[in-house]
Amino acid sequence: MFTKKKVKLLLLESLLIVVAVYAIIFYLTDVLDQERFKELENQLTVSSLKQESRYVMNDFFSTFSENECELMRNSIYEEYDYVKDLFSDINRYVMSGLGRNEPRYSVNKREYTLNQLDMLNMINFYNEGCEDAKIYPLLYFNDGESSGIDTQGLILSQFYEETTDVIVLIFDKNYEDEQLLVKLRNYYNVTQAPFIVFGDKNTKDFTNNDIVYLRTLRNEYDNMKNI
Amino acid sequence: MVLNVLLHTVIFTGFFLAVFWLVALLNVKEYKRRIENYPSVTIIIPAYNEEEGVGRTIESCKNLEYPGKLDILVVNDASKDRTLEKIKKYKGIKILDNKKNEGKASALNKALKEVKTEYFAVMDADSLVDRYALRNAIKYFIIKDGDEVGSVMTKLKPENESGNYLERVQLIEYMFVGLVRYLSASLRLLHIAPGVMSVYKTRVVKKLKGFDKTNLTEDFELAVRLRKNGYLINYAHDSLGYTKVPNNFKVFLKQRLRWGRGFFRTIFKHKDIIFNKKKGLFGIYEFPMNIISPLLFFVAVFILTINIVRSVYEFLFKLIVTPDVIKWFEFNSFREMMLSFNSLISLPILASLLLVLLFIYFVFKFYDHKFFERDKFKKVIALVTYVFIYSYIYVYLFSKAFYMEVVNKEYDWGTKKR
Repeated sequence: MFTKKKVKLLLLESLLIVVAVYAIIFYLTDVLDQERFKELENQLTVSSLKQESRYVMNDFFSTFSENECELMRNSIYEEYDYVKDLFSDINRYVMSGLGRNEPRYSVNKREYTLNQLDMLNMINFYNEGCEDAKIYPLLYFNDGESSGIDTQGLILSQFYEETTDVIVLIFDKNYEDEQLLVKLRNYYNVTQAPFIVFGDKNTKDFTNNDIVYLRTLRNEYDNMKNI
Repeated sequence: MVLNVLLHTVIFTGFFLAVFWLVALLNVKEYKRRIENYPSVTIIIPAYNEEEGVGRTIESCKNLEYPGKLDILVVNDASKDRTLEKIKKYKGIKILDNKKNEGKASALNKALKEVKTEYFAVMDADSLVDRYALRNAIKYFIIKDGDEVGSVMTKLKPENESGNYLERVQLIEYMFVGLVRYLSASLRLLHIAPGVMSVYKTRVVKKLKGFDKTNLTEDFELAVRLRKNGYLINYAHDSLGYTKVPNNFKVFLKQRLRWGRGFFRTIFKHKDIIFNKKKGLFGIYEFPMNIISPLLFFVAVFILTINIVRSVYEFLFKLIVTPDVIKWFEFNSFREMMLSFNSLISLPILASLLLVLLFIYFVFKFYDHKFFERDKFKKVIALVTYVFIYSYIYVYLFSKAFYMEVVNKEYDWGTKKR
């Protein structure tokens, strides 16, 4: 049996060990955070370059012919490939690191949001000129924490895999720093997450539940293609 | 947000406790205890409908190698079977025959009045003790600093090591609990003295007015009262007591429910100790841990369950509804995996798991280093069950026991079965 003094010493020793281990963990987390910022910034830089290239292309072709449509379409998809995982990356990195309130995350998020809005704009513009090879944008409003978002996310991933001309644009339902996004949310009357807008319909038109199922999306997609 | 704070609290506390126990384990040292004149001891065996086991228990006591004066006092608590007849066969023991069944605590109190020896031991009527158990246990009343030990408990082993599946799981449990109690005693934190065989200082227990008749686990209640009044409880790791553990699930649940209810009844009764600075480390750490530990454990089990259910649901959903998005490995590269790694949560959990594995190693070393030589496969299955499934049974039983104590539902003792 230890003496009272020894018990107190053991408690202190344990506390010191735990504090030391946590100090190492915090240091490692900070190192990882720096790498996360670098990664996000790289992704956004590439995405911005793709965006620039698209602008130039847009200025270059005042009207679209069949060939230009294909070029433009490829350009949109190339850019989309770079940004489609960015939303989940930003959310995951914020959750994993110490930087929940780190200003660089909000800059990244704003860049991402603007990028998505720009892409939506571009898709609409493209669709006006290239009616024979339309791209169907699906807007997905997510808040990162509501119960149905994992399921809805999986459904949208599957839907994206199944189709060749749908682009899913993901927005933060609660993001307030970008006025354009606020306007878009108000326009579509987004009050819940997950919330999707596909064609001229939204979650509330599709279902009474929170989640729009694959079958519904497939039907809507077929209807849109047949018009 | 709340869940996140809770999660970090559970992880930090769990990690701290894992470190604390391991640091204690690595520091623990035994010292030699010498007794010139062994004190007199009375062994009290309360018996109610114990015709099957009481004979063996008495024989086990009579076989004890104890250098001092040893009395054996059996209390027949108005048994309805042939318990009294069986007891009477043995010469040289004292018998108290209650005409009315008053319960174990009353039987013990009645016996306590008859005890004239310096120490007394309580032994369940279905338990056995090792030949040197008492001689070894009595030495543990001696400690180095000025505090007084009020009671010493023995190391417990299930009688049937190669029993059925449930018995093997309980064997593993006794091994874990054994090491925890040994460490608790070393850290002056132990506050239990089970009835299989615990030895008490007669003067101290008489001063505290004996056992609580209203409690379902009078041994635990007395142990808490001993600690509350400044007495320590020690653990004699070289003194062995053998107990019969339930071999069917129904009896097991009933036994554990009784223990759970006794636990809560004692906690409610002695709630004044919780965070009471006057009671020292017992008041500010040890006794509150009785409540905090199960709560943390419940939260941990809850979070773990939610994650398991979520992962299984997600996997099945991918498999059935969204097969095109299945990725057998979630990440495209090692870098991507590292960047997604939640070090604040995962690293302390990993470190705690490593410490737990080390602790498991010490459990087997402490109990029996040749443990896995026999029935290896069956024992590994029992270990896995104990680590992964037992926690759910524990949560269920504790919740039910808490509910029953709060609504004050009467306890049904039923008939004894193993």
